[in-house]
Amino acid sequence: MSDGDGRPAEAARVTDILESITDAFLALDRDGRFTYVNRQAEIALRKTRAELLGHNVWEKFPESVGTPFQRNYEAARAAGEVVHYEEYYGPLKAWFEVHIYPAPEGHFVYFRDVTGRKMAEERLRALTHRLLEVQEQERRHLARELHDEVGEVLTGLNFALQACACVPAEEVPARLAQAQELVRDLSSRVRDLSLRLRPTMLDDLGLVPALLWLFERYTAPTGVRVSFEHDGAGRRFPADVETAAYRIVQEALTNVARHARAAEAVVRLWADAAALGVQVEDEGSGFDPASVPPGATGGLSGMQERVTLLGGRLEIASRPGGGTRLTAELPLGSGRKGEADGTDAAAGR
Amino acid sequence: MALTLLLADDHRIVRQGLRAILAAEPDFQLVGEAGDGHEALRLLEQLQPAVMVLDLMLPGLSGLEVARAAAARAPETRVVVLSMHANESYVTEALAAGASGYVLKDASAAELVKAIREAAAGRRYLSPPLSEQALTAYARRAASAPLDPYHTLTAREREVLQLTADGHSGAEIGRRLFISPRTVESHRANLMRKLSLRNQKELVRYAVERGRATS
Repeated sequence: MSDGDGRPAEAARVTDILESITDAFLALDRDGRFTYVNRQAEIALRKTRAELLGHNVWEKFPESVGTPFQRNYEAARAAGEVVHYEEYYGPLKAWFEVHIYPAPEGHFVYFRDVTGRKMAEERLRALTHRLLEVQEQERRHLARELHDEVGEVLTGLNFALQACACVPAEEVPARLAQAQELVRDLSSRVRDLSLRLRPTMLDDLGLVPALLWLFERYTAPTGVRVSFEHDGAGRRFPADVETAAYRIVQEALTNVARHARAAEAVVRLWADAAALGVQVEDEGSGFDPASVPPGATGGLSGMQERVTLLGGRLEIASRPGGGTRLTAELPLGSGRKGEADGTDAAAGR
Repeated sequence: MALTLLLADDHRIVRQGLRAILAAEPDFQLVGEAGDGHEALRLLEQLQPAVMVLDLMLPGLSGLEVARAAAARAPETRVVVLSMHANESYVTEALAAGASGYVLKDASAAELVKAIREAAAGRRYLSPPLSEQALTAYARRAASAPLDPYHTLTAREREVLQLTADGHSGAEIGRRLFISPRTVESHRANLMRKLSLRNQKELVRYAVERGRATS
């Protein structure tokens, strides 16, 4: 509002409007010099209007010469048309959505920082990509298991039943018993396969029975003992919360077996009216959480996504040689959506 | 006297197979069949059979819920659960819901018949490989192990706890940890909830005792 140089009241009002909008707005003359910069533009460009007014935009932002920012401006100038684009600006580490309008004395540039949206889109894209990848991986695995585990037994069963028709009558009962044995084997394999995909206990009985089953299945092949402590978590929770808690524990335990070189993991589960918490702790080799790139595919980012989707918090405390403690808290009840402001999920990362 | 039976399973083929097995017992009398949980409960109330053979995974009302309701609606009826789950968690739940017998779906016909007779006689029956020992072991694993609420604190909450106990204000803690005072407040509210602390005095006392215990 510095240009109170005796202009009509109407112009002052327009200026007031431009100062109050939450988007950035600036005006350039025909030579590309700043003639007006609103408050938001100062914030977005990290420069005050005193630094900018009267100066040429490409002199003030020499890093952007030759970038799409300059090219689009030149295009707008040459064509005398409105140009609209979104572009990443490296020096400010920000995404901008920009509209360039031809004006009588030059150009109006209306723009805003859309980094938040762009990052969300990027996260979503990465997540979708990862989900598809995981899904495909699971399908491949399942197809192979169906073929190896089920197909093989069915073939055997077929032979056993065929034999019934060819053997003397007194041998039939023995052959049928054999076939029945195969059916029993088959049904246990199918049950196993289905449980590994998604334990039915999780839907039928709840989190504690499903986790107990998981621990049983986990210790035998990995040799990692699980000690389980829980408090107030023996009841049922919303299905999405139960699923997220289960998958987080499953993923964290997989990491312990894969990376931690620990003999034991402690799983803690607690709940009150406001939140369900899970924690997986080991005294294994640990790692530097800062060294995990934020977009890394794999367990940690998947867990972060699950927690974020439910408005919860995830913290990973670890250091090389000092073990790892992963804590996730998922809001329950009335806190479920409103908790979003407490989502300083990055606190521990 | 005939032993009256009600059969509840949503798969017709399974019911057919069960019917054939039960028909081979001269003293068994099948009085009704249900294809879902609600029908099972209705018939149970109406027929008051000696034994109900109940699929654990019924549509509508699950077998577990039917078993629970059965205790009130037909107190004389014994329930034998038929299930594909050998896992102790299911057996434990079914028994807790009031079932007398638990038979796996791939068990032999003789086992089902035995379970029905045992149940009718007022005894418990678990089809092998299920065992009472396995259930006891499961109960031990499922029992709530004591959980020290301090463990449930995140590293941030531990820092906030310590700094608060040391007498720092929310604003000071925020500056030290590079977070906003509001975030400090949210951490403090969380940790107080987890530790069941009601005020600053209790918080300080807790932190001091904790510090003495760990140092």
